[in-house]
Amino acid sequence: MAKKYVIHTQQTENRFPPPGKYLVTRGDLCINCGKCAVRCLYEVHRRSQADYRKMDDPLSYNCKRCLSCIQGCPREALSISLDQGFQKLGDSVFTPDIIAAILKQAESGQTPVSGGGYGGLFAGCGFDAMWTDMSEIVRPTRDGIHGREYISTAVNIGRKMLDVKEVTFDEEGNPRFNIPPTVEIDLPILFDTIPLSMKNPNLLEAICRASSILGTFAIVERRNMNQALSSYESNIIESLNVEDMSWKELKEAAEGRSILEVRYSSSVAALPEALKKVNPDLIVMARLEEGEDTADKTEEMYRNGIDVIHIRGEKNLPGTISAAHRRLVAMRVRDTVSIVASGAIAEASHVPKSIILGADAVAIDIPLLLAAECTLCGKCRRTPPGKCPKDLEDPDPRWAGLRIINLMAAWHNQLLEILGAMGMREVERLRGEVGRAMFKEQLDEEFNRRKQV
Amino acid sequence: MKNSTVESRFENRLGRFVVTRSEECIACGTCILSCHLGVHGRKPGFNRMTPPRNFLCEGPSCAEKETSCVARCPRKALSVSENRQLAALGDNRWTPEMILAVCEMARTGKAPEDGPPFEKGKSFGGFDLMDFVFPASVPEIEESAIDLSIPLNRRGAGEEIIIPLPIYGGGMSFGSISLTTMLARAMAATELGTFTSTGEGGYPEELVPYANHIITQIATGLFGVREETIKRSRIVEFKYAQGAKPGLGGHLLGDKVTERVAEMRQSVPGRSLFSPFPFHSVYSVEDHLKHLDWIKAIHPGVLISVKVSTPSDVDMVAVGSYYAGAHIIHIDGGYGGTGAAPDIAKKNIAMPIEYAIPKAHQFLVNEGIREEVVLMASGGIRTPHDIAKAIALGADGVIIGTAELIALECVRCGNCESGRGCPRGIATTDTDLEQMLDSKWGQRRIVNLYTAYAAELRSLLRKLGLKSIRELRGKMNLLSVSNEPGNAS
Repeated sequence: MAKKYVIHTQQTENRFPPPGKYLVTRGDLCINCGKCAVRCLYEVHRRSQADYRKMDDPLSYNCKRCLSCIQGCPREALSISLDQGFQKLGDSVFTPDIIAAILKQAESGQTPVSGGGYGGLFAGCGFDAMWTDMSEIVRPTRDGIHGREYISTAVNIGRKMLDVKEVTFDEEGNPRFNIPPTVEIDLPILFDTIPLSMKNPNLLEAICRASSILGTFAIVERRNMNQALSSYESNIIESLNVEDMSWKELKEAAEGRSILEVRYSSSVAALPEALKKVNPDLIVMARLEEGEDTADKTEEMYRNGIDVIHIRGEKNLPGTISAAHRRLVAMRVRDTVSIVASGAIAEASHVPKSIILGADAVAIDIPLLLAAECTLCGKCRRTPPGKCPKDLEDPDPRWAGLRIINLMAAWHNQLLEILGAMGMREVERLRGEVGRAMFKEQLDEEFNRRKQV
Repeated sequence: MKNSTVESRFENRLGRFVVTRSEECIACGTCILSCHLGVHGRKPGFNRMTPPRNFLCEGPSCAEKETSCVARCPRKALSVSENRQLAALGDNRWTPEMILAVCEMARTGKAPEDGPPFEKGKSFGGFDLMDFVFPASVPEIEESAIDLSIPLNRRGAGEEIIIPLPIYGGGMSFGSISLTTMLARAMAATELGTFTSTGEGGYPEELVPYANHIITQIATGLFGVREETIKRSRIVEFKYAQGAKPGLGGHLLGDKVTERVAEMRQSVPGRSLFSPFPFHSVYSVEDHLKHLDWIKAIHPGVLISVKVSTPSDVDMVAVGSYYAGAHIIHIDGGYGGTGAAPDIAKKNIAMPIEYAIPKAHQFLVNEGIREEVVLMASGGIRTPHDIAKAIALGADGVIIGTAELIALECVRCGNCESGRGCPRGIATTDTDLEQMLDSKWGQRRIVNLYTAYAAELRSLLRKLGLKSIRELRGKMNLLSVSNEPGNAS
């Protein structure tokens, strides 16, 4: 059996107080009796170190909403509210709760655990309209999370299987295989280019460092490559802006590489073949922004010799993955090309769900920034760019790297939980297995049919 | 069942309103004389008023009355507003209104008569989009004559057990919750004539006097399972899976494994305990049968409940459990649960109970075995209305957990797993925090809760024209489901 894949984590503290969901306020009625400090288990309330007669202002970010101080205050002097700043964090994909959860995982490397059941919406659309399956009694589960059974999260990227049309025969009638190249990644998660203008060298170094330790790839724009990244070269996919490059430069970029990314447009249709002539072992990955014609574009890309189709999407990503996957299945070429999905991958559950819908792997971008304490405030995108409130112009690459590794360790464990519950031992076998999920639309239909009985 | 008011353990119980006293106050004391609820006061020897006891205030509806402090204040220094702090309480599934209503039921034994509706949450799906369709005219039925009892044994072999209301308490283990909380639940179940479950973690000696109303759980870790605990119980529950963490087994973090807990579980203090998933000796219905026979050999006459989660083949699991000899099939949906569970599992693995109940129920009907088995549902059942909806979908009865904890003043902060545990003294094994809760007090709160639930159920059945809760089972046509999430709130 292959060596077990283990991600080592290390507590890596936040540099700034994390955004708190709740705001605890001490009103004028306070008589500094200190009962709140006795009640609170989370160090929200403390006596002032400067003047023991007084209570300090509450450290709201520690508050976990147990309300014990509020309900125990003899003067009803304390109050709690939802922190307005927290509510405004992020956007509709990266919600405040997701941002806070990523921060915690990046700090500790632990799977988020809480009590009291689930408190969110019943369902939503896209990833939120599906539940993954589990097995019991008549179908065995896999006990992967505590390491008693090994669950592999490795996947191959590239043309995994020989296209039958590519088999030729020599004069004596023996088949000649031209086995296409693939690369194996230990975790079905690649690191995408960072979308914000926060492209400083230290952060890039942290991302590449993490990708090399984790055994995956970081996609880096060729123009952002620098000396410090050279030691991680075997875990970097250079992303080429083809229009700005001469053929000589393109040739140079393809030489000695196992995998490259290009931004796809129909005008580069002939490029993959040309690059593969330069380097026969090259895997060409192409990036495509989602749209109504994604399935057609996927087909076109396949026909033009692209090996890995990287689909970037926002809210519609789940549907887009499914459309591209189903087109390739209908063409009977699904295994000769890989799909990588990125853009709206915001939490650990999106990884197995993307794979169930048909992706081979996902790529993440914003979670990498969130792990390094970015809160998506957008100051860096302004002209002129504002100062980053979290000092991301110059984070310590080692610190940021550890944070990303921690986050991926937590996601890896959560992936194992999902796979173990459904009784699977290889993530590679989950691709396109829609039978391993239950979809809201289908459950609603069954429900309504039963209601008619 | 008798009920009486059981006050909050905290100085200030959660209230809906806030009374504000402005600078204009001249401390004349008119407000003390006008308010009949005791919101206002002044300590002897003091000139100034004490801060208003907000939670006692009945809100703006008081303004019309003779007793209104706002109207009678000569300086117009008082005002009443909604308690905006409640926005920080609860979530989509357990809204602040719902938590407050459950607390009120536990306090008084009656559902609140006024105030905002609490029947549904704001999760925009499942029970929260369902409503009962009440017939325009129904036969006149005396509420006290409505029968809420259900049998727990419908297949003959074994003891006949009937519980007076279609609810019992779900498994919460010693270690995940405090001994005082366990005792409170067991004492309440005894008083009510229903059951509560030990969860996986053994049977503390203190519970033995209530053994007739305690279900022993056997789960995959076999923690605390002994011959005498099986012999002691009238119902044994096999836990194959639980809704909050389906397919993942149990998990008790090291901090909560005290000496006492470790002794009970025959483990080492301070070390995290994992129950494996699944039973590594059950991979077929035949294996399952063998386990059930093993229990029946140790304790002839015992009833067996099989607790499973809600996979896509929950119907097959239910049928398999019946053929293995189970009396009760307990399906636990993904959105409930009380103990610590990975967030990813709670939201994403296995289907919500609203889909699973009709699926299992109708399959059992089609197999011709529905009348021989009891189908209990749990996992996200909050209010009496949820109970009735679950039964209308096809369950015989329900199992509740979180609602009982809210009756004990849990505020669903969700930190059950951390360090010393629960700041409210419920889900803790810390000896100091445990003292926050008195078992007798807890017993009375839970009895009040069940009493209020029973009254609400009777009132619902009367409006539906049904004389017994058993008549409601599987009547999905009594439910309307709204498809427009926007209208759900």
